[in-house]
Amino acid sequence: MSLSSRFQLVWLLLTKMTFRHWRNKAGHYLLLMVIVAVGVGAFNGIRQASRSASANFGLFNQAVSGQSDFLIESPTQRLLEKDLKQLARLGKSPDWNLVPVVEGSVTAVELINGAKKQLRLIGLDLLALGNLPTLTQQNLKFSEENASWYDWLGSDNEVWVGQSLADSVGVTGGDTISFLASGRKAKMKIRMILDDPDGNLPDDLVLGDLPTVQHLLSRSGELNRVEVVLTQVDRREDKPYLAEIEDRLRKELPRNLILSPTENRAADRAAMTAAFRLNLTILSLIAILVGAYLILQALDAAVVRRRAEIATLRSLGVGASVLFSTFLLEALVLGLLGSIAGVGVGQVLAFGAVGMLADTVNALYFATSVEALSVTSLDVIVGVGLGVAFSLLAGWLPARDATQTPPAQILAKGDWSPGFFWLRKPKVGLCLLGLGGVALCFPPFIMEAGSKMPVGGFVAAGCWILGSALLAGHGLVLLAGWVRPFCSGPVSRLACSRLWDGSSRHRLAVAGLVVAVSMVTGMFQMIESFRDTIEEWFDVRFQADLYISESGVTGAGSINGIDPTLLDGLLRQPNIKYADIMRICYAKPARGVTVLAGVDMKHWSQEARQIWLKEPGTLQSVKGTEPALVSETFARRFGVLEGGVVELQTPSGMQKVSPFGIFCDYGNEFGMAAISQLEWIKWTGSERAVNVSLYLEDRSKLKEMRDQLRIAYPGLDIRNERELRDVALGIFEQTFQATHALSLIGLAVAFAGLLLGLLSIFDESTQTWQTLKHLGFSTQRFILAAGLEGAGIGVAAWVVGAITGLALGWLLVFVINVQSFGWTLLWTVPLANILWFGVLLTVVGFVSGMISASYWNFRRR
Amino acid sequence: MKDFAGPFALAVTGAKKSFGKVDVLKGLDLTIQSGERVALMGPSGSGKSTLLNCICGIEPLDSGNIQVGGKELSDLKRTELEKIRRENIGYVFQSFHLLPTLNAFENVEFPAQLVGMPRDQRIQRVTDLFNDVGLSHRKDHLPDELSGGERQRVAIARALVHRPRLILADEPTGSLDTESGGQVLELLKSLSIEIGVALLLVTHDHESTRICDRVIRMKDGFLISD
Amino acid sequence: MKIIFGFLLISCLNIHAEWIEPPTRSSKGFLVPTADYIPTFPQDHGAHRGYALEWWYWVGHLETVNDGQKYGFQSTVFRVAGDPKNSKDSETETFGSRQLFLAHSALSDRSEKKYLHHERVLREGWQAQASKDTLGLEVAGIEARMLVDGKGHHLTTHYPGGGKLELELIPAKPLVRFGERGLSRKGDGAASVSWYWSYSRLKATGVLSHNGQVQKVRGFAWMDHEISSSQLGKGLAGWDWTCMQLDDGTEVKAYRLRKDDGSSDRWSAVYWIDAKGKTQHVYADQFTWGEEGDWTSPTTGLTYPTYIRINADHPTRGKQSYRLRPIIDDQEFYGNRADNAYWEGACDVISPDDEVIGRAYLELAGYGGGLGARLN
Repeated sequence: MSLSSRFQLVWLLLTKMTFRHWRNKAGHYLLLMVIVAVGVGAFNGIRQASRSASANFGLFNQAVSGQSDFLIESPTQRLLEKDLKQLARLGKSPDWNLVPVVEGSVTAVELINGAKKQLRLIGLDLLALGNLPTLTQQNLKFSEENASWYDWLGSDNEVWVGQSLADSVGVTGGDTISFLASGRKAKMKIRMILDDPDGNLPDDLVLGDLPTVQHLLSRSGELNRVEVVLTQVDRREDKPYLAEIEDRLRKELPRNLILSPTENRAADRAAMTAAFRLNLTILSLIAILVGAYLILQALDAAVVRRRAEIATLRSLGVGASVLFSTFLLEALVLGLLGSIAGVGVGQVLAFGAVGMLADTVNALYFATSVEALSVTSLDVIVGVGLGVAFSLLAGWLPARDATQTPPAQILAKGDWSPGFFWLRKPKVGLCLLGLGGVALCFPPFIMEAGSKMPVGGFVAAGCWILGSALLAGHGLVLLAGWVRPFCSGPVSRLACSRLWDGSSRHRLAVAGLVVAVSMVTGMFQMIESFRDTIEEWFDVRFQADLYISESGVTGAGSINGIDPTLLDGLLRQPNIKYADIMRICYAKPARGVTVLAGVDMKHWSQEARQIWLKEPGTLQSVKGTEPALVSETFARRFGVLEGGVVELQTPSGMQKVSPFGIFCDYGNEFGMAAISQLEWIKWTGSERAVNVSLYLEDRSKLKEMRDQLRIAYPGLDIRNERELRDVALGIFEQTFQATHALSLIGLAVAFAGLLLGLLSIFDESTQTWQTLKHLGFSTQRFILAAGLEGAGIGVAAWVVGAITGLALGWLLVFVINVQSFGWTLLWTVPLANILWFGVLLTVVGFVSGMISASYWNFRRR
Repeated sequence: MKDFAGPFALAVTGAKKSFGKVDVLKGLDLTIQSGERVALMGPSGSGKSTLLNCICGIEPLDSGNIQVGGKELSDLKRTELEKIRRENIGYVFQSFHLLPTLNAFENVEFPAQLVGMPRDQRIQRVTDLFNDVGLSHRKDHLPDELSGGERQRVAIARALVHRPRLILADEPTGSLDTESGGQVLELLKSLSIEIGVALLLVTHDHESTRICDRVIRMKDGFLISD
Repeated sequence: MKIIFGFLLISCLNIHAEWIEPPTRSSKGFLVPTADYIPTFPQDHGAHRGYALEWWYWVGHLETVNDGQKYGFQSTVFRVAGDPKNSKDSETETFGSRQLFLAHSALSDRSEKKYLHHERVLREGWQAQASKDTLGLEVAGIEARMLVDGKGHHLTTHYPGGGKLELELIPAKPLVRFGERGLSRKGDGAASVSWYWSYSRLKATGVLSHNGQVQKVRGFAWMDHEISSSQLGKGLAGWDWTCMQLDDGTEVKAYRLRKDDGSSDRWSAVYWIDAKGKTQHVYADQFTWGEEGDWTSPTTGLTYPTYIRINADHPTRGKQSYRLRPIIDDQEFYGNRADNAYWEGACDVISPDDEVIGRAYLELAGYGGGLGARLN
């Protein structure tokens, strides 16, 4: 048969048969497409949301000043005005504009509804903005037409906001907003609402003249960075030109500053969150996987239902390859339609997830604000591509099954059940388990920013899940065999015998559930382990009486710090025995970024309690370097678990630190090196503290003192140990929200799959049920037997899934977490949760069985 | 259109087939000429169905030869066997085996589409056949909406639409009442005469044999009378 | 280009040299230049922060020493003071709030017929500073300071594309103070006066980096330093201005102040500076500023009368006639704000006999509208 006639034939079968079947079972196929859509949607949603949540990488000013081409930063991400004076020479060229930026997070308080809102306060030289090529296009007006330039420069407190922010906090021009920054409470006055018809301005952006913002943040003389905007915007993509400009900039750049193309920063930031986003992506792939599995199940059911028809086609001389193509094409169409819908679903899910992810990114990585969600053509391609690819994979087996259908002459003569032979052979499953074990020996893959990706761990997880899914059928048969002797009634005996028989459909149904159950069980453990570890860490680490930090700012990257004069005043309070002051800043190692802390080394190494991986003194600091206490993450990232030297770029040039002790820390995944307070101040040129732990003379006055400080310092968060723990666990919960949500989606899809699977099991057993009916088996009994069958599948899936899940938990805690984040967790097995999960699965299985039997029965009538 | 290569529509020589230890065909010979109608009778388990399956190329012989339309089946590959089924054989089942999603017209049209008959010719041919089987008024109905007799008439039209060499009819009246069965048999006869196609009719029913030129009986894997 | 025939006759009704006494402060509270002020240098080359408006202006014609390629250049720094009552002090010197600077730099490449120009508007601070005590400007791409021996200026100007002009400028003639009793009047408003000091002939030598080439250049330049608190009188829309350096060693400066209705203000003037630096001048009634042709900008759409004929009655030498011809048509200067556009370009000076008798710079300002309001 020629290719074209073959195609015509496939098309004929598709339109005259497949789609007519779809029409007859519209609900069924619609559900299937919805499942695919949810799968693709979960993947795409997470993709879009995490992009949108970390897309603007903290360059909020670009909403106003337009895209910049290069960044000039200090290694600590904190510039001083004296650095700016050094840059003046660089500013003379007409080929670029230097745009200094100061920015900080502040908390708006006393809003009309009593709520608080986190805002980004951005300071730009409003006058020099007029030199920027894009500003004229933006057409932002900072003043009324008749105002003079000096009217809006140098004000103490005047700011500009976009309409969306004005709406969300209910202010208009001339109103004031109270806010907390650097531990102080202050007010800013809205000079004007910026006319922003395109909605480019984020709804948390507050803009002010640079000195005004420095004043509001009480960070006089400080800047965050200087952006470089090319004058010839039309040559932005001209690589040789950019290289020439970069070369010219570098020639005059002061030695203590770092120049990088803006896109590098984007890449840096993307690399910083790469591990986090990868974890999410892999989790979200599960939904697609389960969706694909359901397509497999559904198409397989379709093959079963259409067996007679396929046999007739075979008798009429329709070739096996045509049948194969038709079924594969059916899978493709299902996948395609589902995936296209999935892109839309993704958009909806992204809406839900974006806030969650932005919070996480803010809390763990760097200041970011949510950018408008957008679907790129790449999203569509990736989403649809994945959906279709998985659907095709899923369609493969049923399509092959269809081709093995004999012509009607044979089919009519007796029972014929092809089934999936490989589901009956444990070899493949066992091999996969073994392969997973081998994969554990792979070293982690080191990514751009220095974070590590546990490739072996992920491969092992994949192998184990797949292997156990393949072995799940054997588990089912084994379990049914054990229970069988105890089944005496007709209903239970029937249900048990069917399970014990272990048809391909039964095995498939269990396998699908096992995937979901094992993933969820594994995740439970990781999250529980994490929580327990952090609680344990808290118990040991936080022994001070009061903890003081800048109010409202939770993010690692948006810290203003505590105003030094304010802190001086606070520390002069009576009843303070000792104050452990902590200063932190970013520092640049050769790759990526890490955190440099200035602490009281004596207190940290001798008095404060820590969970030590290596007690201070067990390692020898290298001579001529700065002795440091480093976190486990730091030690693992830079390979100094056994001591050594790490070079860090600081505002005072390259500095070397060498660990003499390693402590456990779960604050961030970039690692932290703590050096002595004095050196830190010398290296960074700053004295700003980030937090202070107070030890009191008289602990009985703790509450009184806390309340008193709170009144005196409304801009500072003053917490006792309990309150601090709550805040930290709050951030923790936030971090795992997305994980929870994805587990739930995966589980929901798996349950939907169980329903579909049971339906196809009953479809295949039509003759048995008919016979039973003739024998006087009542409908109620039939439904009950179906329920028991479903429950049996649930139990088997739970047993196999939980065992696999335990292995996954171990893998996540001891391999994946250690490799990707560099921290060792205590392994907690939430037994009660796992047991409850088992009960839930059994009940859901039972109910699913009954529902699908009732539905099946209803349809038969 | 088709080359009429051999003198016979069907020639079976020395056909042997066994399943495990059970020998089903034990060296059977059978020849049917073009336009000839042959009834095949025999008790259950005598090997009638196995013989039909072998003639369709669904099951291979252990030894011996089968020629359909001059082509030796044992020489052919799977796809070529499918082609033989598509082009040279029309099959009428006891339980009709109409495709449930196609209406009567489409069901009949289907094999013609399989062999790539041009559209105009096909429509004409199917319309003619519907006139012949007397179901023009029912051609838009789905199989579910037809009576047993009607369904079998549709199945006969389907078996003939692509002008096969050989029609294999496996108990075509087995599921029908006497009257419908009679009509179906008449139809088979008249159409096979009209087209000049060979017919191998498997039946338990002596009444059915009246439309045939010759009756052969099978027992224990042999033809015992011809 | 369309040639406009027939000269526009400047209205010349008033007798010149009527004395209007300026107030000590302008209506906004700025200091107003006082009469009979004798400047001391180098202090008076520095910034006069108490006055509303001040500019330092260099233009000139250069040629490369090696191959005689010809260039015109303009480097101007404007200082604009914020309202003395309403502008605020900044906490930081890096971002001042009381003074605004503009840097305008342009290079006219006569052989390539190309005009490069660039504007920066900056607040006083890290990118814009002007010394109070001497010539000491650092405003975006323009730097100017006194030479070590105090006898001239060092001027550096940066151009787009990485180019740079570095010049040593040595006065060939003493400084000229324009106007009656040291005050140059720009309109009938009492405060519309300025101190207007010029070096009408500066010998220029230096280095030009342009188009990837570094070449020695030489030529002559003109420098203005003007200080006022109300540059234009009420009802004035702009001005046309030129400085000519004639081959005979003399210079001519001429300007007409254009009124909103298109006529010329009576304070429009022509100055002659003789070879020794002595000046003579006439006001509007003694000269005409004729337009012989115009040029329309494809960028801003503004039309400038760039072909000029000036006929004037010299107090002693009688009728004089000068025609100005731009070396390139497109010498329009515009920044990010198109309404600030003006035409400022290098020209040849042509005698009535059609001979080139010198070089000039011509400035045509206020053709985009709104200039008067900004400089009042």
